[in-house]
Amino acid sequence: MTLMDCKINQRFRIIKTPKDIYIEAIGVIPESVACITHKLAFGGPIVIRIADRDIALDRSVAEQVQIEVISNELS
Amino acid sequence: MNCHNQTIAQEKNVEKKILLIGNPNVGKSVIFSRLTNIDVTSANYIGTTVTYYKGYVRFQGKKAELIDVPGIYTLEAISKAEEVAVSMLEEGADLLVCVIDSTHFERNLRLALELKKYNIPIVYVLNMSDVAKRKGIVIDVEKLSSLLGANVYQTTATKREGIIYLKEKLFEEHSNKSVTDPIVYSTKEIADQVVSKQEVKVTKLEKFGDVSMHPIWGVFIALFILGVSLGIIVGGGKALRSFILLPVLEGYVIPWIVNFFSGFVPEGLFLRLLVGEYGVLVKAIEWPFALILPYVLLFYIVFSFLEDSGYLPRLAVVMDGAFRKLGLPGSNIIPFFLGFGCAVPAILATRTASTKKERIIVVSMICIAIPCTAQTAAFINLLGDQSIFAVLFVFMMSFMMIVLTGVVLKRVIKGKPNVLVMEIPNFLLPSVATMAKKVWIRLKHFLIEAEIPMMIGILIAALVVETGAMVQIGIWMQPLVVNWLGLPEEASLALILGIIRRELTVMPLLQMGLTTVQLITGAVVALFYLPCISTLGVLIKEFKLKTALLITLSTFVIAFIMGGLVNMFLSLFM
Repeated sequence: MTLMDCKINQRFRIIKTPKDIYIEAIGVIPESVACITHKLAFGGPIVIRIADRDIALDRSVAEQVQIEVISNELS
Repeated sequence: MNCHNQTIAQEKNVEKKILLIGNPNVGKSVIFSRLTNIDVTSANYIGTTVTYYKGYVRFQGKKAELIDVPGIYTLEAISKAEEVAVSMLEEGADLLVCVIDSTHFERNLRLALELKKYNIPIVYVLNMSDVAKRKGIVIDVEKLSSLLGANVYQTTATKREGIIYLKEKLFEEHSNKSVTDPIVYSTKEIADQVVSKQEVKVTKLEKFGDVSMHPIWGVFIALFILGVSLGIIVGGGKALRSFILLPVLEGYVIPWIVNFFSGFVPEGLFLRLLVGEYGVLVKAIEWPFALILPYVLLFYIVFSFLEDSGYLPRLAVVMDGAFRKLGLPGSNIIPFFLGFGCAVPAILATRTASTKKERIIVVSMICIAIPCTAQTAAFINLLGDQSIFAVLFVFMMSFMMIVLTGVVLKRVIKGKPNVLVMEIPNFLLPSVATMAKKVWIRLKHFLIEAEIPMMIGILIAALVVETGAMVQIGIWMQPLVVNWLGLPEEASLALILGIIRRELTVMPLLQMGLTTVQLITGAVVALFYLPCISTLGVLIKEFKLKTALLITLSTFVIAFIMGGLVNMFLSLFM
């Protein structure tokens, strides 16, 4: 499933990311564990918390991030 | 490779050349400003538009050159900033100071480890120690030091903690031992060994930082903050102007100047040019200092506060949805916002925009529809006393044109807009000292950029009025100014002056006793009218001449069309 399908506060592991150095350098890399903290309205971005950092991602980027759900615990 | 007695530093009396390097948002610029004095210069790296700061660190009679390298996440090439950083590293240095954000440790390690590949002595600084403590994050400094093979220091730059100790250490010898263990550690492995986190209560500040991006509350908070900012800038500016600047200038400074020059300059054209109605010495002091400066000062204070607090990226997130309809990712909020201060730094700030299309859209909005503080101040002076409705109407026109510009250019210019990928930094209470330094530098730039063109403009105005050329120009421009715009002949002077400084389009109108419809028409023309000479200069430098002229021509055409339409429309009701 992709990041876009994920619910807020649901923990997941990143499996695949789009090929982009900036996305990788900013910390969105495979094998990382994260959760979504914000979903903005009107086609706005998603904010994820990944290893203590908060990163805003446009929805079109989120659609290209493959994830696997870990648990339903609040993080 | 350095020998013991040779340094990379070239200048006399300078012991070392030090590069300050790190991710964005780690507090690097605060560390830089704490380590250096006033003799800081900014420069563009050769052949690029990337800016960096250079200063000197002094300790016990010793001096070192400190360069604040642009913030980067990695040394791999993503944009010009990374290329410049690599060039600086290849040029060589005596010491690298890698600044790490203690609260986002693991991500910062990527760059920290990449830097070890350069055979330059390196030390690591764990900054934001206070925020880390608040979040329950504890870093084993000794373990980290042995894993990295380098000295590690802890600081809280905003509170000056650890800075003097760091200063002293900068002048000592350091090494760049390669990581001693044959196994190469990944950033995650190092972080796991070194960082421990205790559960702590989320502070109110952090909660607010979170809520500020809520899909519904975030919008309300954004509107609230923008409203309060506007209130502070306008209200505070007005107070500063009425209670301090005007009384001082008109009560003491200007009469003194008038008396002084009248004392030995004979009556005639020259005296009038100096101290007459549009006299250079009178208006060139009154307009920038009494009418513009108070608002510009407050704008920069508010903007620096929002910037240093970490709110602006959150605002970008909230605005992204709306901005994308105008062809822009939300990250353009910064140059956009800056445009309400002054177009020149705003246009320079668009250098970080990722695509050319993005840059042109933002720059067009700034030149065509966003009033700078000087213009806004002039509007409020012009219209505020007459009618609040007038002020609102003009800003509504500005808003409409911003949207129109974005929507039209999004379709017309080829290319896809870039998308938002952005780190959200910690939400903090800014340090007053760092803010003050920032505001001072920005204000200084503004005074230099604004004062000189304004004095030239006023001199031209004085010449035009005093030599009677005004009458002739008035006759030429009559069809446009009087018939289409409904303004008196003398308003042509305003349009000529507007070429020099945007607010000069408005100032002369203040003294012509116009009706409300005329005032609004004049204000609308002034709003869309040509970018000022400083802005035109920057446009030509940053873009091709063709682009700069196209944008300038558009503003001219839009100004007159909208002015005439507004005149016709309002005359029906008022």
